[in-house]
Amino acid sequence: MSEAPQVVQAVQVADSPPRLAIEVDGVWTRVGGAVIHRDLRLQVRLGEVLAIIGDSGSGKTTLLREMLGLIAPSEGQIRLLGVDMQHLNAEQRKKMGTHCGVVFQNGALFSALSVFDNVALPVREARFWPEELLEDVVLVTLEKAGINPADANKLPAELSGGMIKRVALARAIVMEPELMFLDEPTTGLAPDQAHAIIKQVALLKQDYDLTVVMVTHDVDALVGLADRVAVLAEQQLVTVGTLCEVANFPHPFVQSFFLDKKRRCEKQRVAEFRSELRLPQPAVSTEE
Amino acid sequence: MVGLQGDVTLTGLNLLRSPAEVPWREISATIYRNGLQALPITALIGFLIGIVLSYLAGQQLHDFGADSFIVNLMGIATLRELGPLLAAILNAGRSGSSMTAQIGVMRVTGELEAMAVMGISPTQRLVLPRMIGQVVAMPLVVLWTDCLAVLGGMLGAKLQLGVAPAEFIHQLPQVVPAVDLWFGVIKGALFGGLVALVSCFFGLRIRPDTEGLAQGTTQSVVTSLTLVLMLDAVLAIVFSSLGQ
Repeated sequence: MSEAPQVVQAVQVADSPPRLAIEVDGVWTRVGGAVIHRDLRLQVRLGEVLAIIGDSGSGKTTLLREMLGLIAPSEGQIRLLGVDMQHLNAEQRKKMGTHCGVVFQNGALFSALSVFDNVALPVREARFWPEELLEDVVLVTLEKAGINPADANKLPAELSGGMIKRVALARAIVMEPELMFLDEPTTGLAPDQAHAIIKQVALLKQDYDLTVVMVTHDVDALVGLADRVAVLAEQQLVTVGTLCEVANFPHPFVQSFFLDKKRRCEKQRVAEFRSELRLPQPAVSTEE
Repeated sequence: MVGLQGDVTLTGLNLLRSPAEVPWREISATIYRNGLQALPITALIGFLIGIVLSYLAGQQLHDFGADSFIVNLMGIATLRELGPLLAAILNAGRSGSSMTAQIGVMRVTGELEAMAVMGISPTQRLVLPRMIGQVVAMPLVVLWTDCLAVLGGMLGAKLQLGVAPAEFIHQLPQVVPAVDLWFGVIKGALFGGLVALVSCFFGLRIRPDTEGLAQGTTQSVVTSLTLVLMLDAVLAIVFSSLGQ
């Protein structure tokens, strides 16, 4: 564990001083008597995609919520685009909301509103676009998120999991924010849908020049999107770096995370290969 | 809950300065759901309670040869007490539980967090319109319940004591002061606001899981009913001389 701070520091001072989108500075989070985060320090550069990985219960989503100002850390500061998120009044928070798009784990679409109204809501609230332009803006945004405008009048209950994520993506980008936060964007989706969402996020990131912070367990999402990966384990940020750097980091969680995924990928490749050759599939090991 | 009431008051005062931001759609939806859609059930319950009360009271009054007092008894009891209370009890059970569950589900599904990210105040968008909607709808529901309870009472009086409906209607305004009617209507508005406040309070603090949702909804209804009865008792004592 002693090398963790060195790795973090090494990444942070690697290049010329970057422009920062998010600064997490000495954040401690305590819930009841339990410590969730211990002195987290992290910087997200403008325009990069940072993925946060960690074991279940390691506080990834909590950190994301702290970045968004939904909960306050017990100690420390979080600044988004230079703004301290803990000391905003209602008006400032509303203004800050126009700079941040969020895709929650289950989409968090407003169940009483149609797809169109869900996407239009942030625009209407912030009076970001004139009302006469709203319809065009929403329909174009839906198309960019990969949704057929003919589905605009559907209610969230009528949508598939992949469609819900796409509508949530559309709602997140409709204000053309600088920052986008994704909480487990591919969880609960079939592999082809997950792949499509990753592709969609990559396209949107390029179109809107977004800085993305993504909490995920999905290696495909890491490979497809992440410029850097931050690992939360044992209440600390154990390393931050490129996918290659992190995958080779000597920490039990990191090793088990990537090894497990690697084994699964290899097994899947073997299964596909045998299937192509019409060979019988090997018996499933009882160790798993 | 006091904090939430304070927040609602401040939000309401802020909205007076910018009427364009008043959530008219949500207010109208509350009036429709908690007022208009509640009319059939309040009518049925009001009518049946009216008949039962009139029937039972009629028996006792007949024993004392005081048949004509059925109009006084039914009029005052219904307009001043039973109408508002029945409407409030039904409102707490029907609309209160619905409001708590609705806000609670928004918490479970993360909709409240999505609102917070967009800078939408739950007080302005969820609590205030429900309170205003309830304060507008409940007096009308009380008047409706009063009408049906009086109708039931009139039918009971006819069946039990043979009091003609025309005579009942003729006597009613003479023996029941109008202030009793308005007192009941104002009580309805207060009960409506109270039920909305309690329901939203419990909805906003629900533990975000299915068990928390069930517990929160139960607590909300029980607390609403208890507070409504307590408020009713306080009003009955404080305004006991009103209309005498």
